[in-house]
Amino acid sequence: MSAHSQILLTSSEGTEFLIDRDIADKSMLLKCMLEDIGEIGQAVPLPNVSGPILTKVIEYCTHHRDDPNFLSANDDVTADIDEWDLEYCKVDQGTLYELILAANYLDIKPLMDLTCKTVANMIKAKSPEEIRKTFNITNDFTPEEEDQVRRENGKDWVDEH
Amino acid sequence: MNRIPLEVLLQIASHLDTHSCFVCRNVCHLWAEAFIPFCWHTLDQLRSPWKLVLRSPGPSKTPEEQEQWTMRLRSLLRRYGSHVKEIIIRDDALLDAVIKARLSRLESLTICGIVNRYVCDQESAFMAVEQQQPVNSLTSLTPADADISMLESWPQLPSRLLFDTGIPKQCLMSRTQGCWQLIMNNPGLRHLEFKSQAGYTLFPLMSFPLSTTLISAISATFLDSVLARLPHLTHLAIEQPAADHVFRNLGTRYHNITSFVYPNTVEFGNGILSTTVGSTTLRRLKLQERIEARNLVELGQKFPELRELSLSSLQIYAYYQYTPPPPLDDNVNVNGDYINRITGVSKEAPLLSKLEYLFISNIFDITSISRAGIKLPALKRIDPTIKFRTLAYLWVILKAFPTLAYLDAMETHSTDARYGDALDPASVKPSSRLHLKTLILSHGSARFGAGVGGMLEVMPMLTRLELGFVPASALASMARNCKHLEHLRFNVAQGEGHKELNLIFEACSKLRICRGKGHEILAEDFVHNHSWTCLDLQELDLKIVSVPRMTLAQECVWDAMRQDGRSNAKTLEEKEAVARRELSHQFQRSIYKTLAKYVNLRHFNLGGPESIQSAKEGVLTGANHTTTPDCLELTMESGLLELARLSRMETLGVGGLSHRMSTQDLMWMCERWPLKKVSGIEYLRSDPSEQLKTDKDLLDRVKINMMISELTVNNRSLSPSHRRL
Repeated sequence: MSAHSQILLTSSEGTEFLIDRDIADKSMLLKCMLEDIGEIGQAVPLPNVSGPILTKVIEYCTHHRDDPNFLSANDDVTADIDEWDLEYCKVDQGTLYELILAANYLDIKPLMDLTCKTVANMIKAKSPEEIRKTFNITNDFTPEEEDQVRRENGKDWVDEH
Repeated sequence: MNRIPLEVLLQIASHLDTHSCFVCRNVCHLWAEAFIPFCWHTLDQLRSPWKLVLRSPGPSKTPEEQEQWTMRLRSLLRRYGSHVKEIIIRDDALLDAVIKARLSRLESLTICGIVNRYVCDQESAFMAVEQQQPVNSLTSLTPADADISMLESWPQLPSRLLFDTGIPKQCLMSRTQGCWQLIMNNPGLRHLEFKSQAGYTLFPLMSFPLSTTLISAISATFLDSVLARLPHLTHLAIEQPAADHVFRNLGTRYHNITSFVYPNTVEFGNGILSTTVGSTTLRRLKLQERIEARNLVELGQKFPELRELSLSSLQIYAYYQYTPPPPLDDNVNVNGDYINRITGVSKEAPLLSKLEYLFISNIFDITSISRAGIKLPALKRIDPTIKFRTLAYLWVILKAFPTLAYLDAMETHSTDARYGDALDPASVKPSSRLHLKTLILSHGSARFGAGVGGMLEVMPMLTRLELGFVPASALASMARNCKHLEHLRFNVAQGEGHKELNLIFEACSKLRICRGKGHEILAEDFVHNHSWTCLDLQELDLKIVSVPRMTLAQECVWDAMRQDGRSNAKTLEEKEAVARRELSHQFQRSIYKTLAKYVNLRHFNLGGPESIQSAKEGVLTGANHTTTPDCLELTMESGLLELARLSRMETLGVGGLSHRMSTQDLMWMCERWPLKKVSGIEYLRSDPSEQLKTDKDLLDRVKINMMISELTVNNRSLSPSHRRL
């Protein structure tokens, strides 16, 4: 495997992206695929990822291309997000959501962690109603069910706050 | 996000705190289910939710209370036990319940040393564990037979013979046995810790047969067999004598353990290190008693990959000097060969060459390490609890360990006016630039001389700097030398350093936090020479002074006119007052406009804590303040509306005596900004509490905001729906 070889990817709308092999390798999906079947010289179709999102994913992988610890699982989930990553995640919610799905599909763990952490930070200190509003979730509870969940939660704890 | 896949949701949940997970359960059906495991993940009586649902009876609990508590715990464990991944056990009752619940998905188990070794009273002993075969009666077997049969007959309980012999006959299992069973039933354990407490006999290894100080062959075999069942174990803290056994074998059997706590080091004096096999996988080691310098050297040779080392204290005799092995050539050198054989390190690697984090409680031990010739070439951070009182040592440390990135090594409460003097002689300063990123030298009261400015010349990488009182020249030095600063805290004497402070805001584009006393800037500079580069400012203590304002006499004139309901000036005095007022408001508006650029501000103290202080000490209140005011009015009339964009403002300090801010202005802020705390309103010129008493609605709203500030401090989170009442 040459470090300089390049891989062609096709996004859902058919746009082609030529990227370096070491960047493609950040994605476990692509890495395994390329190792299994070798570089066949054809474009790899990614029907689940749109062009703009793929651009964004490539931006992330390119920025982190030389990180030595990229693939070693970062156990410290409480660690702060670094500056560049913070800036990277300042996107609208739709994009963030698409990014999570893309990271999940392409199996890029650090990006998955980053985007999930960003979403988690959006959830913190919000009420259920605000969370629904933020993420456009329909409240499918009946009042009785809502009450039931609240009781299960140990009423004293959640309500006292 | 209605269609958010479950696996993604679970990932998100893993980044949330427990309370948020509970809140999330109220969002919708999918979330109510998905978040359950994260709600009950950690069982600790001292932490919610378990703390609240268990409502532990106090120390003087009655048997009925204890019984109720146990029942409640058991039913909760039946229901949520499968989600529990982490347990911290602090008393016998909890341990008993956990053992009986037969949990099997634990990843972390911590047993604090308050567990009784023997189960003497019949009630709390394990009469017969549910769905458990009776223990084989192995009492007739020899110890070796018992051991083998125990190993082969697992999951049956280890033999009684192996453990306590003092338990009553009718009990089938001791708590000790139960505990080991719990451990072996959880092959996913990553983290296992027995935490001892002073003066307590810690189970369960103390009850190994034969000897309490030396581990027997049976005990060792047993321990090996237990640990062999825990392939994921990476962190282990265990009592003596088991600790000796594990420590000796870190390099042979226990490669998976990368983090180890060695409970006491008396054994080090008895030469345990010489019989220890070195390990190249150990990354973290914690020793709980004093060791000697030669032990440190031995540790370095045995564990070349250590990244973190925590020592209680280190004894280095004045005569001790470490001599690194001479550099070897390819010819076989008898000495060098010996070292390579016992350590497995490449011969070039210097001692502890990968150690990044060193915890020693006393900072003077660190200077001794360097004096004794031990280099620690990769050291990044030291965090002592006993710190320096004089800064002369700063250079000693930084010269010895130039790789340090984090240093919080100074006595922070020093009020000695000469605290910083030692920095002055430029000759002791290192000549090359340092890697230091965080430097904490004081949390406020210490006073530094001019030398602190020179100090910063060799610290270009600083991102966080905390100092006490510094001269204005130091500020200029910060601006000149430390362009990467993000987090800054220092005090200056009131009325000093206006220009120099401005330079910092111009030079440090990454500055997010700038706090401290006496930070003042001239209004003229702020408006007309404004070239700050730090657009991401989030926390700021800054008083803008020399704002053109009406004199107090003019304010009285204006107030009188307003009371009469007149806006057109008649007398010369009135004309002057009106003109001055217009000029002042025009100027202030431009200040607000400039401030509004810093949209990320969430903490802004415009008053300065010392003005609150003086108001508390003296008889001054806003109403009888006498000198001509020169700060911002903070009123709508003076242009406060320009600040509507500061949508993140959470804490606001208005401690100055001469703001004219009124209750209406305060309410405007409460509506526009997510304010959680406003400090200093009691010192405003127009005392809002007086006005508030006449308006119940307003009073409630302010009160709510104040309450939120307290709540948020205590609870971290609060439903913002309350906030916008």
